[in-house]
Amino acid sequence: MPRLFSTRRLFLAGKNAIYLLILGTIFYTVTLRLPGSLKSEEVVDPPPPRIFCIISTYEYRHTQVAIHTHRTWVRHCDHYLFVSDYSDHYLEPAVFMHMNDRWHRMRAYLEYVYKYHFHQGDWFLYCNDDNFVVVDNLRHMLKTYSPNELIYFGCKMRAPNGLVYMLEGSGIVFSGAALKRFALAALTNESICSSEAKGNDFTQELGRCLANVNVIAGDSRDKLQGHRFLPFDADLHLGSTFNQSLEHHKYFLDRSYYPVIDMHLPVSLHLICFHTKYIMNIYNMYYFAYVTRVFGVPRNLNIENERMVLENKTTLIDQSSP
Amino acid sequence: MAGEYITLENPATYPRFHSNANGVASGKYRSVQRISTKHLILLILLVCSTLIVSYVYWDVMVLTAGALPLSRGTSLAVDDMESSGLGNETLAEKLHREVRVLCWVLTTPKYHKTRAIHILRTWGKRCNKIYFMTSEPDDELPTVVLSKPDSYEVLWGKTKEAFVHIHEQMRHEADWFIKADDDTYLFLENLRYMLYPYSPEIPIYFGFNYKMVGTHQKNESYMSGGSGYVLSREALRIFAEGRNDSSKCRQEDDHAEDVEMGKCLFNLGVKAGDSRDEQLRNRFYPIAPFGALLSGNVGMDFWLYKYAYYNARSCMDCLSEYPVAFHYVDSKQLYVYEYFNYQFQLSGRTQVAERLPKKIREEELVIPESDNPLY
Repeated sequence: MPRLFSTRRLFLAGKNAIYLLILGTIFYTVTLRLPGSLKSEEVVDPPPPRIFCIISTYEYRHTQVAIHTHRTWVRHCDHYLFVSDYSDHYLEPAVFMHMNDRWHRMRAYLEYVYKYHFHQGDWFLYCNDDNFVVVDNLRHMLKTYSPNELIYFGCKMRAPNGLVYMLEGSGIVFSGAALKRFALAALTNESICSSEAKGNDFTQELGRCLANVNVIAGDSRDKLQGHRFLPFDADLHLGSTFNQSLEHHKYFLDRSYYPVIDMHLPVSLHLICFHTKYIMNIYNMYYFAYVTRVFGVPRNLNIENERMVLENKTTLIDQSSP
Repeated sequence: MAGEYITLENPATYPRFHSNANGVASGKYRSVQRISTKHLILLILLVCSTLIVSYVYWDVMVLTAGALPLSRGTSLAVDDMESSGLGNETLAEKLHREVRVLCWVLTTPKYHKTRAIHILRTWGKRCNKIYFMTSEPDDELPTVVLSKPDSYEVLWGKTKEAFVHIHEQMRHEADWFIKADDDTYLFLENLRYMLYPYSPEIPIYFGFNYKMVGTHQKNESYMSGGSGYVLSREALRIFAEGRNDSSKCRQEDDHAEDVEMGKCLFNLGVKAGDSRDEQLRNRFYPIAPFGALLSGNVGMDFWLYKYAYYNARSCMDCLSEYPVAFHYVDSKQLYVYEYFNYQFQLSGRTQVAERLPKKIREEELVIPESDNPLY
């Protein structure tokens, strides 16, 4: 019988040792590395950005206007704070008295929020009590930005002297870093940020202060150049056009940062902020935006259908019905 | 070292062994019939190619298996949209085909360009057919010119004439006939969803139920004219044929059209259906949504609460998810409603699987009685 299974061949001598070593290394790498590569990599979405809402109101408007905002969309913010000049059962505002100038009030509000509530949000939305804000679409827009960037959003305007600022009636969103920079660097320094009374031009002063501390004014339009922060009422933007003879329309038309074509602004399908003239409409808009469904018509459009809808102002069902 | 051999004395005893020249068999022997190399190679090639083909076309095979009718259960709206490229229609398109609705709108030439045209551009285009009942034709609107003038005093007469005209000329164009004002907003898809369980041969009509005014029989109800009411084909026929009966329907042209319509239909035996959803929330509402959502905006002596047939509580949850009609919507608000319901995108909204409801037969139709707790 030939000595097929003689162990003499396996003896660690000469070349056998090297062969055995190579074999062992291969074995080790294959068996111990394989389980690792078999496990698929899990990609986890980062947590959605937290929005802290600051809603500015006044005592005479508490029961007429602010309470309706409180009942509808404000709950969708991660945290919210009403700021007013008197207290209230339901709104529980932070009260600032004896300050009549809107710029002084805004400085005080932002400093207060930085001091007491900075840890509660990544982004800070400042708006009035008659704005309708879709907070979920705001989160979606801010997903692609980091709260550490020095940026702020709103309805962008350009003053005749070239200063870029945000319109006051339509919501302003600060990143956490921008708010911090504003509170620490701008508010304390008189040359960067004036503390005089500014009246109704207070957002221009805000724009100037933020520009002085290198905060960028961001573009809040969507991929199809639809506007997400709208200056006027929903009726006006969706159902009619601007009227140059009206003073507040003229103010907007003269100073809008983005060109206004044909006296109307394209409204984004991912709208974030409207101003409401008649506050009761906020209930209608909230109901339609969040609750109602249309049977058989899907609501999540992809980008192609969005473009079609924006251009033709028509619905999908209309395109394909006989 | 040399191997050892088995030496066979007599090769004839073991005929399968090949012996070499000197009568000695070699060490190897074959006890099984082996496949020839050619066949083996062919077999391996066949198996490998089958494996490769099935690996490459795995997805295609799964998809075509999925398209077989056996594997399709009840269709979801989401699936329908995705597979629409393969020729399947959406649920909304299916309903558009099966539940045909003819809309007619009471209007007047004064409002053709300020209200009626906006209705046509917003929800009007979703009706299977839409007609504007007015006193003059218009180049942009599909109008029907009636003989009655456009004034409130003859509104009932105008309504009668409109329904009769539709019954005579257009009754084959649709299964359901809805009347609306020029400040009404309708959700046609939700209307079809609501009407799907009912056959158009049942004499029934739907709207926002009010308790009948004045002296009336128990459980007599009429539908609000402003928020629209919809008649089945059978109800339309009964109305058109029975309207000249003066004991049942008012022959003069005055008085409120919705009250007279309700009386006439009640007397002719047409049922006043319950348009609420499964959770008994209203789908038709005679004012804008905020009236139903905001409690305390108006006092409890408001006409809506007084005359509502069913409980008309106002709360944030008190309107259906699939509303059908609202009233007092001005022409700009029409576009706002249109935008928010059909175009607006809310990120993070979950898709809901929608299914068609079961059909209801006339025998098993149950209409609840009035239960307004207030009056």
